[in-house]
Amino acid sequence: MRHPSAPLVAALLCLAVPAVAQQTPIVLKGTVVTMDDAFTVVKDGGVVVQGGKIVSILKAGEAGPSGAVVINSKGKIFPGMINLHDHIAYNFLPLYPVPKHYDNRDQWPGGKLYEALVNNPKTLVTDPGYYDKQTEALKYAEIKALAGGVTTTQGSPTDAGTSGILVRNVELPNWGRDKVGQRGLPIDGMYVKGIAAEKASVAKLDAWLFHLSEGMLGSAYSRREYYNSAYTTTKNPGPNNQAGLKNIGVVMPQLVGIHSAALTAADFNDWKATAGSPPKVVWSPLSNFLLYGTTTDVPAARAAGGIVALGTDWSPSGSKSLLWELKFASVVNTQKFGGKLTNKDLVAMVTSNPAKIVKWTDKVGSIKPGMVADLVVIDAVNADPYKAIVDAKESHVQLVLIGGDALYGDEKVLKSAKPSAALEVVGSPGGRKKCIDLKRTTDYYKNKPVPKGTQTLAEIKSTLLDALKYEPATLAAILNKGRGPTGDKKPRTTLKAWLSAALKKVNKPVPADVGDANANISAASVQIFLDTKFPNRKPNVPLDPIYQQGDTAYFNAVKANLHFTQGALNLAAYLKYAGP
Amino acid sequence: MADWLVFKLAEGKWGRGDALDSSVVAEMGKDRGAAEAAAKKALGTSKSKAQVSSDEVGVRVADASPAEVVKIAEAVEKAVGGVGISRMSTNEWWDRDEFTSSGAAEVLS
Repeated sequence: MRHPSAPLVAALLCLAVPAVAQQTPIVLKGTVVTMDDAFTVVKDGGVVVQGGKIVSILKAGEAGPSGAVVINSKGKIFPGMINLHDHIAYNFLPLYPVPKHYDNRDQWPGGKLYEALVNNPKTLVTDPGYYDKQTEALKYAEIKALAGGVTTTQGSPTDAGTSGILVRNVELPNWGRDKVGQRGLPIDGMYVKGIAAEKASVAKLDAWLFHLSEGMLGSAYSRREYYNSAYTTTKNPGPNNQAGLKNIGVVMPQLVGIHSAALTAADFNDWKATAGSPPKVVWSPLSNFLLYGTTTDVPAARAAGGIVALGTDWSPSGSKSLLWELKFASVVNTQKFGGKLTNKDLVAMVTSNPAKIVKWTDKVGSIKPGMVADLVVIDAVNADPYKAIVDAKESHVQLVLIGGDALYGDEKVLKSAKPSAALEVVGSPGGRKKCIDLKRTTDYYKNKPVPKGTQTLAEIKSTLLDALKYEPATLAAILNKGRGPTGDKKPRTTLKAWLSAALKKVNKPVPADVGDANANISAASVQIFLDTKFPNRKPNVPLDPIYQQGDTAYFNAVKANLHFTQGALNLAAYLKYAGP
Repeated sequence: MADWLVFKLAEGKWGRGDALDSSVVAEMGKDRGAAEAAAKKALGTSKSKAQVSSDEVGVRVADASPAEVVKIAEAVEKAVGGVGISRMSTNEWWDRDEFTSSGAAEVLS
């Protein structure tokens, strides 16, 4: 991929007209799909947004406040989508060709292909000991999320450059609350040793998202993460003595089972009885099918009274946004669940259900006066409002607002909502130019400066692409400069120590610059380090394109997955969306 | 206010990570008493609602702000050597310097 030159970057900026005051109300006209408890739909209505909140919902023909910016969308207005499962630090990476069938999540991390296309690029690009571009990786991922109408995501590391801007991150403090937690690691000996404090900490949360039983439906190995009848307290917990959540008493009302893909109907019923409340599940069907060839028994979870939200998981084996996960979920519903889920159910899984799961129903997930104005406006691609969003592609996303702030959308619409902003072009899916108001010098919550807040999308892309080259000279310069204002040399010291030990172990000479703790490290020595520590790395892994719409390589990779070539699903109903 | 774990960093560990595991943690062992005492002394008699306890893994600091946990971590570090801070609700971890210099403490306050 070419890097845009400075003149090209300038040309890509959508020129904007003078500012309106921030407090100027915005009236979004269109069919309002509220996702409230009554599933109220206001045909040809409107939503008045001011001061970051939803002020009122207009009926058909009702005028908004005078002086408002009026956007006649002729489309449908939804609550912003909430993605309750993601690992966004990986989402600059493309879908990788899952090489075989797996039974459980402990089988696929590793191997040359995984290292080259997933683990190595994520580690080398984002880790503070290497190229250290976490902020850019996260920001790029959040732009992809916005492009798919997502306003809240999950699984984001704390990062001063992104945590308070763009998409909300569910485990970070929001509105003065810090009550959502997560755990991606299995239960190990260290966790069990501190179990009293861990349980007390979970008890204070509104939601604790745990990667639970990720594997093939019914996998005995994966089901052990819920309950292991063979677990014994006489041995240290670990892979050979897996403590299930029930074994250690953390099947609590706060538990949200990310994936829960191996669990059976009996497990979901047991969960309900044990927790004293119905299961809460995050469903990532595409990632499940690509890795395991099956997915969560959603009807069984619902039959146990469970509440289900959708999540994309991550870009190496998932959808780029919820807009696309909805389509895949719809196909799974038809072919595997006997059509038990309605389109309304599916839309609830990306709006009101996740809000219920994390207890944010007073803030987001539905459209009501007084709620925070996290909204997405979509073309009326279908008369049925719920089918409309299931059918919509990125080209149909007209506008995305977070906290009333119009961040992303059609160039013309975004300019109407926010005339003063210097908008940047993101792309043109389906031939419709989409812009973003990316630059943020202060964060949403504290009005504090944001590091790297003035980066353009072009700069973010070129920074990531540069890092993905794995140039030894670049890394040597980073290490020799040191971290932060003090030039902390810990990264270099650590790297030298590791390389010295590795070379001595195989009786190879240690270069002088590596042996001398205070010397600058040379590019040649960094090359030796990279070849030793990351032998399977593949330079120039491409950035995942922002739009799934028209991403031929993406859909080809899905089609080629062995579960689908062996008939796990008929993909025709999914691939009909694959065109530009 | 959040819950935190202040732990001894394993040899050669620094920086930050998405998920705290046993490769990052050197268990307290015989330093447990000194670490907990230092933490409690650092918390002092302030009106803070924070509570300090300890187990084999490290010093647990409940209901504390990032600023409070930094103060406690500094005291524990003086008592037992290099420490890290983990946010218990998410398992993220940072070395003590990184927690403040990266802006994480500010984001989480």
